[in-house]
Amino acid sequence: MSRWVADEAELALRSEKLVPIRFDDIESPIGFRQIQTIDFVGWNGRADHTAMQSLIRAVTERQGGQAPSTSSPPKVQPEDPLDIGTVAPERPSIAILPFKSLGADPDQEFLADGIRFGISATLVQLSGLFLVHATTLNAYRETEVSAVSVGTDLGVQYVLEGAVQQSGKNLRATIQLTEVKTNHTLWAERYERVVEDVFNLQVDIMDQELFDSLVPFTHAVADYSRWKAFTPHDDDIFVCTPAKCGTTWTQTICCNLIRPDGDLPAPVSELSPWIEAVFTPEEEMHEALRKQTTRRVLKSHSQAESIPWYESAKYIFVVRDGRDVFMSMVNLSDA
Amino acid sequence: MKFLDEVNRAAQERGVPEMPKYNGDAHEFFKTWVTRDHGYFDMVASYWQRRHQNNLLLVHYADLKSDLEGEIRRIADYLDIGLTDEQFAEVTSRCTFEYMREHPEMVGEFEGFEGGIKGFLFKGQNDRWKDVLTAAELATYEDQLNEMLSPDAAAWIKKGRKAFTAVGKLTPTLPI
Repeated sequence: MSRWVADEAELALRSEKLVPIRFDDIESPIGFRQIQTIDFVGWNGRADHTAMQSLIRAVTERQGGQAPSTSSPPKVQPEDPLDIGTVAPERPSIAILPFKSLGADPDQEFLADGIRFGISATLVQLSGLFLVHATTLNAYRETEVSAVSVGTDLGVQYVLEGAVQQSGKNLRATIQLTEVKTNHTLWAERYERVVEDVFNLQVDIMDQELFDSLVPFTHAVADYSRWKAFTPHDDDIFVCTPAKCGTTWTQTICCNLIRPDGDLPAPVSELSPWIEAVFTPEEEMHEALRKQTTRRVLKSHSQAESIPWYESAKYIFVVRDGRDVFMSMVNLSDA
Repeated sequence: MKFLDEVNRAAQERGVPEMPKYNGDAHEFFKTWVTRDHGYFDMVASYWQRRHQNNLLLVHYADLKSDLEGEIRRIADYLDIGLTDEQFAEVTSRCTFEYMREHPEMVGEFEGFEGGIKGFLFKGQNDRWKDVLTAAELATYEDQLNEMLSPDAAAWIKKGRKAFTAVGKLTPTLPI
């Protein structure tokens, strides 16, 4: 494979547009072995062949569309609920490692996988959290590596690990959540159940405490997927702050600097929307932003890692003494 | 509808935790706030790490309060916006906290907040915590600050640019 092809494939991989296929029974090149490859070995040249149908579906999905339905749906590999894509570094992400099965019985591995999938299905529904491709994670099955090194390799913020042990009718599960950046165990718990109770076990694992550890409360107002529809301009200005630190103040300054005559076409709160805020109608916001022809001022309350970083844009981070922020939050949160 | 009610209604729909409400007990509220889940310390740490980037400017609320025009000029310089002295004076007059509170047509109505813009831009005062937080709570705050941030970042958070001029540390590594 030439370097140019490798570069192109790498680019496609990063923008989640890569669909590897193979015509011969060969090993994939290094770097692309962790992605599911559609097998055209033995393809009969027909459009209704399983391989061709899988390819059409994969391409359509990566374009964001609905796959065309077929009269006789081809048999595909069972879907892995963790199989969501590669890591999008601008969003908070988590890797749920294959849970260790402490016992030789292969049925126990099935149980461990079942619990892991149950948890992941719930996590998928959390907007803002990005789950790492399951086939990537299978490389870590039964290996002794630290959560931090796995997390660093994958570029994720959180790693969830677990171990499941069955002894007769008794089931024991230990689950641990690690923050990669700090190597802190944010949450850990051991569960003892009877085997029949395995579904309640999944519910218990997803309890409020784990939930809270994973979803900082700013997620109540922030939906990072809103950045996807955002189109940057070269001279955009991003005012980034924790809440109650002088955001509006700085936005007002920027808007007035851009229009020193004070002739603002709309109030600052409309001119300069908070991109990831869940309560702004998304379409309207992007539409209004597209129409702005003068230099734009945008607002974010996200960490730098959670938003796109455009080289030509200007970012302003505004901070205030945390104790003053707390007092201001008291006022904001007063019911 | 009040801001927090609206946010929490949306949070319920999305199945994510709600924002805590203040129930009148500042000490109870502080316990929630000071945990890192709140995101304040994480966010400061994440931008502080990038402070050497050419396309990031760090601004402190305390500096906006003590030298508004100076900070406006610094921001303009960073944004490559050149204005006359007269224009800077005009912009500054429209960007005082008091002017902003009185001009919702410029800043926004903030109807979702109790009291509109005057509730959102509430007091703009610092140091109100001195009458509220206990010594133990302040110690917890210090612990979090020191655990999450480098000494330089912690000093900047407390005092803004003064933190560096005061100890003669106007180093070229601090673009603030």
